[in-house]
Amino acid sequence: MGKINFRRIDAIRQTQGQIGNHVIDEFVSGRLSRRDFIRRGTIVGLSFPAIGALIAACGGSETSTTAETTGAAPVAGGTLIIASGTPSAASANLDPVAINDGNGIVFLAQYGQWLTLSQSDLTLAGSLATEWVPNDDASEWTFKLNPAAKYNDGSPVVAADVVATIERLVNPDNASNSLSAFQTGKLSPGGTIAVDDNTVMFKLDAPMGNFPYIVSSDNYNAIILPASVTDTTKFATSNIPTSGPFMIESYDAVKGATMVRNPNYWGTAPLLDKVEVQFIDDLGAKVTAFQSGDIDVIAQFPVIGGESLINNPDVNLIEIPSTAHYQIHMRTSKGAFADKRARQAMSMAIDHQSMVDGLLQGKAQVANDTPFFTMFPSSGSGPAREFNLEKAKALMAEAAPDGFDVTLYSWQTQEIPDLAVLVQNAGKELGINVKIELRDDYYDSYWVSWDANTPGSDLGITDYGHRGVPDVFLNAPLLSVDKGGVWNAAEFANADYDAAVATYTSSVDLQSQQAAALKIQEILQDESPLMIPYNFNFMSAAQKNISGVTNSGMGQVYAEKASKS
Amino acid sequence: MTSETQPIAKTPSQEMRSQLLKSKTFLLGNLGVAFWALCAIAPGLIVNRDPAEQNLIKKWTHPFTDGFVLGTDRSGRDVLSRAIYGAREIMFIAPAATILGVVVGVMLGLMMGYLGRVVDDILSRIIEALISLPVILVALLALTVLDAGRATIIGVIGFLFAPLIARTVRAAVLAERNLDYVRCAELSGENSLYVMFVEILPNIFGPIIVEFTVRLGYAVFTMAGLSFIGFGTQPGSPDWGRTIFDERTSLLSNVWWPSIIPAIALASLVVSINLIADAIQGVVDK
Repeated sequence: MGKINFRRIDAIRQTQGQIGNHVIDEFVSGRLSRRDFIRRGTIVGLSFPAIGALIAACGGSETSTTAETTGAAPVAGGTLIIASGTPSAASANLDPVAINDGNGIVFLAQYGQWLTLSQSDLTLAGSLATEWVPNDDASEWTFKLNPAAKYNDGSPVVAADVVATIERLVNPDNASNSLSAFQTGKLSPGGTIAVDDNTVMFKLDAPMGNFPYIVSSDNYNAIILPASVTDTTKFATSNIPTSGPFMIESYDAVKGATMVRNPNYWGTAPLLDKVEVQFIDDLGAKVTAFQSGDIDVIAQFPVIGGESLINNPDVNLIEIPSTAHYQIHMRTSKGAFADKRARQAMSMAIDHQSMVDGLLQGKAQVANDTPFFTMFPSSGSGPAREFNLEKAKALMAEAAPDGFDVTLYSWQTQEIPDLAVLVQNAGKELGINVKIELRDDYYDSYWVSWDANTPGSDLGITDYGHRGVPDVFLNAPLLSVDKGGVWNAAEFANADYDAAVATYTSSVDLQSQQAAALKIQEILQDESPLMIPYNFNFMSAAQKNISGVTNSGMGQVYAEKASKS
Repeated sequence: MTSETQPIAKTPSQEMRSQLLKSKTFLLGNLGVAFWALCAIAPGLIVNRDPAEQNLIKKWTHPFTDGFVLGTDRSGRDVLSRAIYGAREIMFIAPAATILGVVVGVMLGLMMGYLGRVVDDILSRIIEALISLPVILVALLALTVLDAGRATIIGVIGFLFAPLIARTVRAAVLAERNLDYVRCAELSGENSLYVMFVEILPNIFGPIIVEFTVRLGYAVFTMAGLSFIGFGTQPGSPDWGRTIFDERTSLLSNVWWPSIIPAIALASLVVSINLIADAIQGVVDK
């Protein structure tokens, strides 16, 4: 860091609240790196100009990062054809409240907008909101809306719309897919208040340092809709006004959809006339269609099977480090893995580094069986998961000397079958006979034991999409059920863990978060309810004649600035 | 006086066997089937690598490199071992399903052809209805509803093949039922079961054998097709159909061996079975 301009810093400090000033002080004193400062700054509502000015005041230079295709010079007009999979049954009508998969998210990014945008470098940018500030303990967050924002019917986006949208999503009666995200965000029904037409306040049940992520594109269901909308269940065909750059022209639940440019778009007008989304489920068919030029963009593809795209110089590869990952749960409450030593043994028998280097061709980062990925600044320097077959065998000899049989449940997508086989082979080393069952009804019956009709599973693999902060990963899948662990497939119940997560969630400065994170990581590695071997990069491909397509780790494909030459 | 040795007349089955043993297609077909049967029964005699053993950093090793004769797949598994072990599932399920289909089909065909009238009318209509259903669709439906284990697959394939076999057997029985030996048996008071299974069945054995070999080839294809779309085998299984599915995207990267080798194995088994079927058909038709 060069010479510090304290006068300039003080000028900026005077415009910030207590938490904002704390983040500034941490950066100025050197306890926050520039990268972490940008990230923390955007979370607590420091604007990019203010962040840039602070970095400059501290002797640095401004920076900006987005994952974007670069290609030919932008040309107006044309149709961008995106290949995506068929949305799930819940996502089939494109109901923003119900969408629950990446194929539905591809649509939301075309016509929907969120209060904030979670970017590929884990910073937050404004979208419908221009600024946001917490109160002193981060239990209240106030968002200012962009007064220029309007829907495709020309009506303005106002605070009442935000209240109606968020209240619909936090209402447990609406089968909202984002209920768990708002539980994580400590937001209950009645907590969203319109202060004036352009100001919204979120009164939380408890302090939440990362709340702006809960209303960001990470919580993809939270696109803002007019307050007059009462039924979103037939969204695809109901012409509900939206504020994004495109709007739905036609939709076929089997074939795909066409979206046309929003004539009343309040931002910079898109260059494209249309965006067409074609449903192609088979990866081989997708790649063949891409290679033959029938499609312009593959929304997402896995490393396994996508090698011909990765190694092809004629492909515009979009690769974003993300926190998307697979959680391999081991049920702690009963069954084969009830003994902690068996879980520890299984966890130690899997070589994470080999998976990343071999299976994922380096397109992933090693994880340590906790959701604190190295990308998250709050992860700190947590303990690494040791790959130690001898120790694993010794633990198994104590826990179950005769071994045992167990069925691994999951579903057929991306590299889950390969991961399942790796777990099966690791089990073989320990005398654990793993039978693999990949079923379409995994999420209905074998993921979480909701009731007597859903058995759950002793061993299962669940895919989790990207999040800009670890809060959702720490809450729904791991908290005790009575504390909000609605996705707790491992049936993990640990009071120390619950308390550590509560501390983490309410922390607003990085040092406090890292201290709580360390405790959480130690508990998770000891108890071993989950194996998380890696978090993988989000891979997307575009033709060389496409420019301006941006992606997020969550799966949004933004075509607002895209062009086709 | 010189004594002349009279040639001993061969029975029809001896004659058939003699002709088959002189048939090059029959011998070649048997050689192929015997090889894959050996692979299924004792794969360890042919290869010594574990087909499930992964070596992730040796992904897509080319054939004849690093001691891998046919290279490795995307998980660094030995393609040769997987091709050899891959015969196991198919060499068990396909013959078992075919035997089941033949047993049920022969019984139905005998009843339809011999008992005739109402029995024939009713069973024929049912069989025509069943035959009109696409095999793979019915199999998919059944395996979705039922547990997609080995027994179910054998039962489903056998059930779907039985009507086809029954129709062939019925035609053969119709050609036999009015012959003198059947009339003699009936006049001597033998019951219908005896006439069908003791008198007629041995005389229609040729068409049944032909039908068995033809259906066996189809059973191999059906089983491979089902495992290709994910039924009946676990992920990671070296089964040929499953492996072709799992490794098909490798072709897009010009890595042909993980998917083409099991495809060649599958084709060689089906061709071998068809060679046997053709040879038997040729002898039966004489």
